[in-house]
Amino acid sequence: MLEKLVLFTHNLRKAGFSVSLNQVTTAMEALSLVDLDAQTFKVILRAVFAKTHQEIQVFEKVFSLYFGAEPEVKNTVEWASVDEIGLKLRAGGCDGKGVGRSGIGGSQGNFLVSILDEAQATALAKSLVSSLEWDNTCPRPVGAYWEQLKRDLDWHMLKYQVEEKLDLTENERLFILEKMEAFASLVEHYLYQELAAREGQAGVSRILEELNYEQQDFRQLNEAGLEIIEQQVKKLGRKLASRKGYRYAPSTQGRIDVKRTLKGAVLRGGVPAKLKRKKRRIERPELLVLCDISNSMSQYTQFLLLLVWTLQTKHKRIRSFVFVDRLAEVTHLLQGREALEGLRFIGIHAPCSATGFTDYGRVFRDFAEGYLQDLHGKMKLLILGDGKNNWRDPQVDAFKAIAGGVGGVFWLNPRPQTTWYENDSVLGLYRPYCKGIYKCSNLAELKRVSSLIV
Amino acid sequence: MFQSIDDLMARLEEANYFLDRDAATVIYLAWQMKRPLLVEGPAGVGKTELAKTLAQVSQRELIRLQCYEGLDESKALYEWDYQKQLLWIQANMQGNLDWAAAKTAIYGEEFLLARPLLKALLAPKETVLLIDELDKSEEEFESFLLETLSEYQVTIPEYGTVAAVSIPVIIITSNNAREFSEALRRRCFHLYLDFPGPERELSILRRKLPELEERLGREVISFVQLLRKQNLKKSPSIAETLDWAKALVGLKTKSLDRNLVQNTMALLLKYREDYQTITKKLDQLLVSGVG
Repeated sequence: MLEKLVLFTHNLRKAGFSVSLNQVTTAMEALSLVDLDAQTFKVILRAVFAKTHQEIQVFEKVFSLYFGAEPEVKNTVEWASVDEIGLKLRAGGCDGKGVGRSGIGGSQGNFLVSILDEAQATALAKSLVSSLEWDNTCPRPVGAYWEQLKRDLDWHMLKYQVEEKLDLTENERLFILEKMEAFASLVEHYLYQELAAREGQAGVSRILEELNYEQQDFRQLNEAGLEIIEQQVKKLGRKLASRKGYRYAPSTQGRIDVKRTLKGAVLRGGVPAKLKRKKRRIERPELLVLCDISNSMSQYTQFLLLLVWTLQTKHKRIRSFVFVDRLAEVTHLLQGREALEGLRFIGIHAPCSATGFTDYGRVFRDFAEGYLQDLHGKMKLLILGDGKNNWRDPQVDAFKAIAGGVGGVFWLNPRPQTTWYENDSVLGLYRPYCKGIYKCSNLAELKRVSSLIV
Repeated sequence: MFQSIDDLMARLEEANYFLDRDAATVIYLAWQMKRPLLVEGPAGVGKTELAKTLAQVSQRELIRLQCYEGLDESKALYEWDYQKQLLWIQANMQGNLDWAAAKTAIYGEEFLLARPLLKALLAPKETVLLIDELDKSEEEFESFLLETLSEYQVTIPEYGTVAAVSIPVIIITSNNAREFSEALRRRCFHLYLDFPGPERELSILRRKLPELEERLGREVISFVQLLRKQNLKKSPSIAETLDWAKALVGLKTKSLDRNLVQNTMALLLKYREDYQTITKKLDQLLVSGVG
């Protein structure tokens, strides 16, 4: 048992968990205290090793990969009549042309009906996975296989139909969506099993690396990963926003306020019986954020803006700009909106692209012309971009003027370090005026960078 | 204390607290192994109530430390009674008191004000220590907790190390607003409490409100469960559901209808934006929930 458990913790570590030896002994002790069945066994390991809601989701996957257990199906929407839904789905899928009123084809209707039943869903998931063509010569990311299956099933269209088009009650709609989610985790489970059987330890390692969302490039995250990382980024923002200034970090209270202490002493015959203390101030950085939102950068920008949004909800001294070849301020678009709505608004309403090709020179020149007078030494300028300028004029003087006006320029680049100064990249020209250039393409790097800067 | 997982579930149920077996397993083990239990989950699922009920069924004193921004060890752990120390010095000023004796005297137990954490460690009988909403405190405060959580002791620089007289059951709750350090999380058992499923929530309602009719109960639960699946700022808690059901029983309601729901929905939705969102979707939700 101990050996199995230790191997399991190796897998957890590969998936990004931090597991100490003490936790392993705790788990062993806990396992010896109760009568074990499969579920209790899992619950105990989960309570000891998974320490956040996000980690629980990843734990479930690692557990089912290692122990071969099927994923847990949760039924939170109950009292929905499966027969009635089946009738509706089939009716929506048959109009003699193969496509129903809702746009759902007859076979798709049948597919939805069959995944409502647990046994049928399992059989279907198994057969789908076994029908895949496996490329043994060039291993593909695990997610790519699932994406291929989704395309074959027309999954996104199906989901859209259920969410928006089909004539269902709210309860039925949620019921079907929950079943679709359960089906997706079943397929994922069998995909993992198949891959582990075909490629052995190498396959398992590949799966675990993909489950380590914190270390994964933002652009390679799958749907589940995106959701988890979004939550994490918001948490990071809240943490940074409420952090006390480093200056008095070792003391838990503020410094003694001599003036107020003496005033109080007057009331007590000159004895300073009560010490008054100054409150420790929360450090509120003044940030200017400039994000490249051209196609190659959009996924990275989304996370940085999400972080900025969370910081902005706590305090207002942050101004955000986006650019491609024109500069557009988006501070007001993010304010008073929910995060995702704000980001969508930026995509639609920020006039920042005329040609679609990034032009750093023009953007910095516009910024210097429009905002130089607003800059001061306490501000920090954060730029997210890959520095690829499409062979246009880099306007280094404008950048130098901006850098001279603020307390520091920090450049975040999601590309691998080896490519930073290649081809049309102008990062090398701006480099002397930056306080730091950091790689920032996944959550772990974003965490590190933001705690240095904010 | 608790003989088995089933025993724990049964005793909590007697006190009107309903849990699934998975959650009960984690609580049972934390209790048996004297490990701190970190309970996370959305607001209103009964995290604080869990600690209270555990104290009640085990007949232990509940010591509560409510966390907030700015909480420091003088409010959580201990504080020197500065005024009393001054008084002591003034009272003994005339005698030939040497410095070492004075120092030992004023940093003695008599001048130590025990705050909740120290109080729980020094209690002669075992207690339940609830550290509520730890995510609201700051990062540094977590570090103060580490020694207490793993060693059940507190080190006071002027006094020495105070070990626990009795080991308390520690329950930490969090609304998941901020991430805790690895060190803290490693020391705890983790429990994620989610909203109960329809059947379990219905049995909570039945137990707490016996006069609620079966049909109305199901309609209430269906509606509330649907609300929780909407994108709301704050989902209705179990307590709010109970309040709403009580109000409906008070109004002698037999079955839900649009007007009634519209007029009483404020008991469930506490944000204007949520209220507006749901008002727009009300017909659709009611067809599903009631239908």
